[in-house]
Amino acid sequence: MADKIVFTYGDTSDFRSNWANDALVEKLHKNVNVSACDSRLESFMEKIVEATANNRNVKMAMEVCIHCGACLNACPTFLSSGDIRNSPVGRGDLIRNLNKSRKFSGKVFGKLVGSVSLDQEYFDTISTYYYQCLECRRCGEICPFGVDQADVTRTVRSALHDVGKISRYTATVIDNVERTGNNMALPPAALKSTIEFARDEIKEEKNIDLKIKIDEPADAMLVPPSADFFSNIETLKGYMLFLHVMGIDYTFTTEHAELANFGLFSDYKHMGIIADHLTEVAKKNGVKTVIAGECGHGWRAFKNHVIPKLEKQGIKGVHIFHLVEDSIRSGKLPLDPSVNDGKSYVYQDPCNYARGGDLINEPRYILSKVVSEYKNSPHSRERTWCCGGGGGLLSDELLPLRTEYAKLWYNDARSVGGTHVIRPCAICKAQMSHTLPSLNKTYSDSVTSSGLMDLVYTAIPGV
Amino acid sequence: MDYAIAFILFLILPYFALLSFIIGIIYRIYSWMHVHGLTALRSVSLIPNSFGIRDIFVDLVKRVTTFHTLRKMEKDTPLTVGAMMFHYGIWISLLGHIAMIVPLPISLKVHEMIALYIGAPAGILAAVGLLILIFRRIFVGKMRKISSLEDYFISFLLISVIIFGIVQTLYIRPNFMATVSPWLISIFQFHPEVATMTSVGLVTIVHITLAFLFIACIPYTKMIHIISYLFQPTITKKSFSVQAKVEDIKGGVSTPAKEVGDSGR
Repeated sequence: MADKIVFTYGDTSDFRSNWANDALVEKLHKNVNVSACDSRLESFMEKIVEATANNRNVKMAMEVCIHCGACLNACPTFLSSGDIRNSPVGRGDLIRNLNKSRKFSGKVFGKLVGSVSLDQEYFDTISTYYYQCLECRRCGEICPFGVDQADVTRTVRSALHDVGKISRYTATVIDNVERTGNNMALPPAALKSTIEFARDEIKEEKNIDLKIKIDEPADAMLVPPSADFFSNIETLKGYMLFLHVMGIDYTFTTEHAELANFGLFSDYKHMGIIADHLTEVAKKNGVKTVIAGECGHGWRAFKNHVIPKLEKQGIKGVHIFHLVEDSIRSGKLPLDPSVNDGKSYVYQDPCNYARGGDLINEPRYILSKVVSEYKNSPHSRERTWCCGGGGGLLSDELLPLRTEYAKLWYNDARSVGGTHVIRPCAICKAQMSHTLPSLNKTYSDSVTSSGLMDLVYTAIPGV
Repeated sequence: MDYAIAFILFLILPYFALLSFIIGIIYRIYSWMHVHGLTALRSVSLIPNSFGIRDIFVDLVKRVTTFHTLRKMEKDTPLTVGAMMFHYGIWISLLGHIAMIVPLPISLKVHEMIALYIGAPAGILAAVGLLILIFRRIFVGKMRKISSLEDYFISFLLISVIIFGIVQTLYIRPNFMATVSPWLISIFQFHPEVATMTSVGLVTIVHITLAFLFIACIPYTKMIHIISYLFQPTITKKSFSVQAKVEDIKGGVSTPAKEVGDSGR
C-alpha cells in the first residue's frame, strides 16, 4: 500500500495490512516448527478444517449461526465501516461458505446456499477482512447462541500464519518478543535505565527511596507490558510505588519484560512459546507469584493460558489490581483522591478485561478510591467499545480505519461530559495517543487519557 | 382419503421425521461433545464473572426467557420484538399441541375453548413475529446481504406450518380430539393407527405434512439452535476466578486460586 487509503463508508476492502516478508515469516515458522507448504490455498483449507474440528468454540461458531444479524448492531468494525464483510457474521461467512463447498448442501445447491471455492482472490479477501477484526468479542456478547467471532478470527489468522500470511506489524512484534523477551526489542540496559529513571522521578516527586531488583530472586515478579517502559512511565511509577508502599519484595525481569502476547491475536503456537518463556523466567528467578500489569489482551492470555502453566510450576499469577484492591479494602494503602481533582474522569473497560478477563469490578473499586468522582461510559462493562486498536491492528497503514473505529468510544465518553478517559491497557493507551489528536481537532475538544495505576501513583501521598 | 396416502403421510412420514430428528440431534450433540479444544485457552466464557454453575444457570434462563443479550448493545427493535413475539407464540402453541397427547382432566368443550382463545392468538403472535423477522430479512439491506437459501427455506417452511395451523384452528375447527389426537397418541405408543386420519381435511393434511418435514430438518439446519446453546462452551463453561491478598504474596506463601460466585454489580 503506497499511499494512505481514504476511508469510505460501505467498503473497506482497500485497507489491507502490510504483510510480513518471506524472511520474517520463515523466522516465525522456524520458532514454532511450521514447515513451508507446497500449495498455499490447499494448505490453508486443510488448516481451517483441522482447526474447526479441534476447537469446540470454533466448530460451534461455524455451525450454529442462525444469521439473525444481532451482531451487526454490536460490532464496532461494521458500525463504523458499513461493509458487511467487515462484520462478525460477514467475516464468519467468508469461512462458512468455504466449508459449505465440502458439504452436502453446498454440493447440491452450490451458490444458492452461498458455497464458494477457494481461489487466490478469495484468499486475499479473507486475509484483508480477518485483519480488520479487533477481536473485541462484542459480537459474542450479543449473540444469543454465544457465537464468538473473535475466536474464529484468531483461528483463521492462525491458519493464515501457517501458510505464510501474517501482518507485518504483528509478525514484527512476535519476532521481537521471541528474540528479546519484549515486544519493543528494548535491550536490558535500556530497561534498566528506564526503571532507574522512574525510581529517580519517584524520589523527586514523592521523596520516597525505592530499592529496585532486576533479574534477582524475590517473592514476586512484576511483568508489565513493555510499552510501560517506553511510553507509559506514569503507569510504571504507579506499580513501583504501590509495591514499595505495601512492602512487597518483587523483581523486574529483563529476560521477559512483556505481559502482552500477540500470539493471542494471531497464532496459538506463538502464544504457547511466549507463555513458556515467561514461565521459565519466573521459575529461574525463584518467585512464587507473577504480577501482571495493565494490558487487556495480555491479561486474557495470561489468565487463560499463562496462569495454568505457572500453576504447574507452583507459581501463582495475579493482576496488580487484585493487590491494589486488597490493600485498599484492608485499609493499608494511604490515598488522597483530592490530588486528582480537576478532570471529569470516565472509565472505559478494555475489551479483554470485561469480555474474557473477569476484571470489571476491581478497577472500578480502585478508581473510586483514587479520584473523588468518576463516571462510567454509557457503554461500560461487557458493553464497552473497543479502543479501535485491538487484535493487533495498531499498524500505521490501518490508522485511518482505526480512527473511524475510535469515534465510538470517543463520543461515548463525551456524551457524559468526560474530559479524561481511563483505559488501563497498553493497546488502548497507544491507540488513544494515536487518535486523540485528530479526534480532538475534528470535534474541537480536548479529551485526554491515561491508565489507572497512573492515578494510584498520584493519589499515594509522598513524605 | 386413500388409505395408501394416509399410510405414507401419517405413518411413514412421522416415523421418518422422528427418527431423523432423534438421530440427528444425537449426532450433532456427539459431534460437539467429543471436541475438547478451546483455542488454547482455559476459558472462552463470554459471561463476565461466571465462576459457578449458578451464574451459568441464571444467564441461560435469562437468555431463553428475556432474550437479554439482544438488549445489551445497540437496539435492533424489529429483531427483538419479532423474535420475542415469535418464540413466545411458538412455546404456547407447543404446549397446546402437547395437550393433545397428554390426557388431561378437562372436557372436549374446554379443550376447544383453549385452542380457540389461547392457541389461535398464540399462533397469530408467532406468525406476526415471524413475518416481522422475514420482512426484516428481505427489506433491510444488511440482512439481505447475509441471508442465504437456507435462511429463506426454513423461514417460509415455518410460516406455512403456522398459517395452516391458524386457519384450521380459527376457521375449520375440526374435531381434532377425535381424529388427530388418537392418531398422535398411537404414533407415540408405537401402535400406529391411521384410520381416524382418513377423514381429515386438506388444511390439516398440509399442516401436519409440513410440520413433520420441518421436524425432520431441525438437526441439519440452523434450527439446531433450539439446543446448541446448551453445549456452547462460551456460554456453559465457567470462567476461573483469580484472587490475591497482599499478605499471601509476602514471604512467598502461595495460595491456590479460589472459586467465588461473583455475579457482578
